[in-house]
Amino acid sequence: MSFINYYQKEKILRRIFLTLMFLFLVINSFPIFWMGFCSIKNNNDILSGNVGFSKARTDVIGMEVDEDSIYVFSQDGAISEYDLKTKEAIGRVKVRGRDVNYYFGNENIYLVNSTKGIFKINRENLKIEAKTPNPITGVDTNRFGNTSVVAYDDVVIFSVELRGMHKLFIYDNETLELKRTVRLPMDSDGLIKSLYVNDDSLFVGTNKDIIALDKKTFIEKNKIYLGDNYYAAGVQQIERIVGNEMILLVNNGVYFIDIAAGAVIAKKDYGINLFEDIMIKGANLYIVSPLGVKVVNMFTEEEILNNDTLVRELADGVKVNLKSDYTSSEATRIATNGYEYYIGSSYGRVSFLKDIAAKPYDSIQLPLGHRLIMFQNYADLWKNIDFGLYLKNSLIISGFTMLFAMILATLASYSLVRFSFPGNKFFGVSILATQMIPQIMYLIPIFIMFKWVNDVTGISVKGTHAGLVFIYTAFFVPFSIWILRSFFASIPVELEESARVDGCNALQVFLKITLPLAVPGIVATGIYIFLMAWDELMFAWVLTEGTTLTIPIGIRLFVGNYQNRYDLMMAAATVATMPVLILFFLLQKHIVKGLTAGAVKG
Amino acid sequence: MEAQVTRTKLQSIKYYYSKYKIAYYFILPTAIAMLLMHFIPIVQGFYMSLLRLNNFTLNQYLGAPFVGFGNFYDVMINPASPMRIGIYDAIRNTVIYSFLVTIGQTAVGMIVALMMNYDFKGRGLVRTLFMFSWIVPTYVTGILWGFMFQQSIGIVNIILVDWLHLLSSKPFWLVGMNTIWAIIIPTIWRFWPFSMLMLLAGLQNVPQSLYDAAKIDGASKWKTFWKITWPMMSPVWMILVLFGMIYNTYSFNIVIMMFGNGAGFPGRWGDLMMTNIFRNSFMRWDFGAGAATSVLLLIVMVILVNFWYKHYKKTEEIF
Repeated sequence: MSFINYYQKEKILRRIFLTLMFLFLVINSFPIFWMGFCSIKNNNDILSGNVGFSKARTDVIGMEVDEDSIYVFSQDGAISEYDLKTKEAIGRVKVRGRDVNYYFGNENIYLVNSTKGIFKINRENLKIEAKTPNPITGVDTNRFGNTSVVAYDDVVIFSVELRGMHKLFIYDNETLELKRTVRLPMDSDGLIKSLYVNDDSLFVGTNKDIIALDKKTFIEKNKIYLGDNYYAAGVQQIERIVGNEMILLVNNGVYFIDIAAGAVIAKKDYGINLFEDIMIKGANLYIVSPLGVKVVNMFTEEEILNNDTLVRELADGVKVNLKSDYTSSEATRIATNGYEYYIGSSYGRVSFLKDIAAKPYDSIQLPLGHRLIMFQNYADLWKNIDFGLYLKNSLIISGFTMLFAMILATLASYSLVRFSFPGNKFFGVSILATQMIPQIMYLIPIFIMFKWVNDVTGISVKGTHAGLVFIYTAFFVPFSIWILRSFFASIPVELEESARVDGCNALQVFLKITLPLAVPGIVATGIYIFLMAWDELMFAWVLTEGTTLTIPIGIRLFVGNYQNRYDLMMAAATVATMPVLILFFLLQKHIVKGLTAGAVKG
Repeated sequence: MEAQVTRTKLQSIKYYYSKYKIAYYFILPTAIAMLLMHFIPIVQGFYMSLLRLNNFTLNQYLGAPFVGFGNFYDVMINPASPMRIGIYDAIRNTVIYSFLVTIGQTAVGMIVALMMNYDFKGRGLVRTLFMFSWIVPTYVTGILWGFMFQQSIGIVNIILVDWLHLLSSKPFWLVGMNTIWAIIIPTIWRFWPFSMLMLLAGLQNVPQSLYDAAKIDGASKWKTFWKITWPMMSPVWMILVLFGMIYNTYSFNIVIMMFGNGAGFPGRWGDLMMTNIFRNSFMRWDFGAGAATSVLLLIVMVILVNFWYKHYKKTEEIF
């Protein structure tokens, strides 16, 4: 009658069942996947609701013009060389990193970033000839600000904008070996912002002042105080006008200083909110702000040109990402070779202008940057919080709890199963009854008791490993006994009886006959205790402090301090999950067997 | 006469001791541990619920002022007491939470256990993968789901609104009435694999002959489940319901970690009894109120468990 017989129907049903199950498996596993996935994401991606990995921005951070080519430095750490005539890419080198900066020397380019360190790159063929890691280790890379580098004679000088870091790192310019470090005379809250070198001095721009150093000895020659108002910005850029006159760019203005006299000549505002870059050409000062370019005569203060809309127009339609989102970009840098002008802007656009007043006649677009996959979050996590200590504490506490609870539970459950001594029933019931009592009802008296013990005897139980191990042992023993009872019950009594007949005493029977048979159950129980101790939050919250903090408490404190660092939060969550997940994966057969035996028979 | 009785009592103690010496030795460490960490604290806990034990009287230990049932009055009735704030919200939330989570984890566990009872390739691996959500520590569960439930950047809203277009605008999960769902769903997610494991073991113990008989009688699958599988497994799922009831009523980690890691208040629809007691005790430093609330919680739990036990006895007798 029907085309589908019974077996076919079963088969179809089964297929539907399995499909549904795998679908559910995917959904159920998703949060764990998402945790791991977000732990290697860039926090900005998370905060902007971007589900995938975005690509690094390629904002132009510098341009250098050679005879017939232009080197474009971008924020993602790439150097691209373009032919000035054909506008075609000649060479390209990429160093993934953040806080990128460079020094353009006669033969070599020194490219630095806070994640990967210092690279010496040949100017001709763009080959990396030497590299050395960032000398500052142990600091979350998110805390680094700007990096700076200059090279002269036979040294390369590297500095990082980082609170409390007042050092210059001096490297050999060929091998990039660290030769020495120089501590700068700075206030405790000083930040190194920029470096500049000229014929006779090395200049360090900070958030408050500019320091002139001797090029060989690094001894302070002069220092010009600029004021505390520039805390956030500081000296972004230092250029030389002529002789001893220098020009400094700070966030919202330009300083003219006389370095020999050690005095500020003038401070000009020019009515621009945000300065990106300045360039001096003859008597003209070219100022780049996100909106465009302004040209003023430095001496007469006459405004020659204010080209605000120009860059808006020229940078329209810049591709932001793979999803073909387009935006306009903002001007960041200016350069010239004397005949024409180059304006670099965000998202990697470089525009060519014959005349600064005219529209650009051509432009080039840098390729998108690398994907921001941040395995580095884990390294940052370990630098931010003392995760090693928490891990150690958790392992010690969970491990010893497991050991002691296993011993206690094995002995107790064996005695409960095998001997019907007076009090057996009472003990069995009270073990189950303890499971009914809310844990906080123990915690309050224990907390006050420990405090009292400390007041009276001076012995501090709170904040020690032993105290917590003891409490955990006492708490996890009843449940362990409950699981283990069924194991011992399943071991035949006849075996023990025959051993007794052969002349073993009770202890020997237990040690030689019963215990070996119960090992799988004991192991399963032990792992389960370990998992429970690893998971315990409330007691550890109240009863640990300082050096005994366990992972849950460490994570709790960490998350409280870094509310918006979801990337690190997920990395911490992943690190806390991985040990138990691996443990479970390796030993799951034992755990499953142990738990189900207890449930079904008990 | 009296002396004789005493002697025989003594003799009987000696007899039992010599007979069960090893049993007593074996149980002694556990007994001591439980005496120190269960019995003594519990007795003190009951007594502390009758004391005005707060930050100022903490040093007096058990000598703190005795206020009788004052703490209970403060916690439950006194409208002027700060300890009473949110207690009824917490009670309501705990009842809803405990009930729905227990049902949810048993139901999901049962459905997946039935699916897993089929024999197919890679069953062991699938079971292990299912178990993974049970291995994730509860505090991580709280952080993770709290992150996933974020209003604008959380993946839950991105999936529901941006991808599936099920809702027109992104709801707030961690604010307002939705909070109760935001704490129920992660808890079910965390605990159902345990139910599945137990139920699967129970399923495999149901004799095949019963199913064969049902098949011969022409019973539908639906009927077979409700008439054979479900009753045959009642010892298993009843134990699960008991444990679910107890553990979920005393649930703490997930909720506390989801909202500002303990510093934040879970809100009127997210606060549970345990978070309430913990806040009163270790943030407002009123241990008397905390102890009183936990005593009330314990009394309710004892009544519930007693009720459960009577029912359990009945099913035990039938099978």
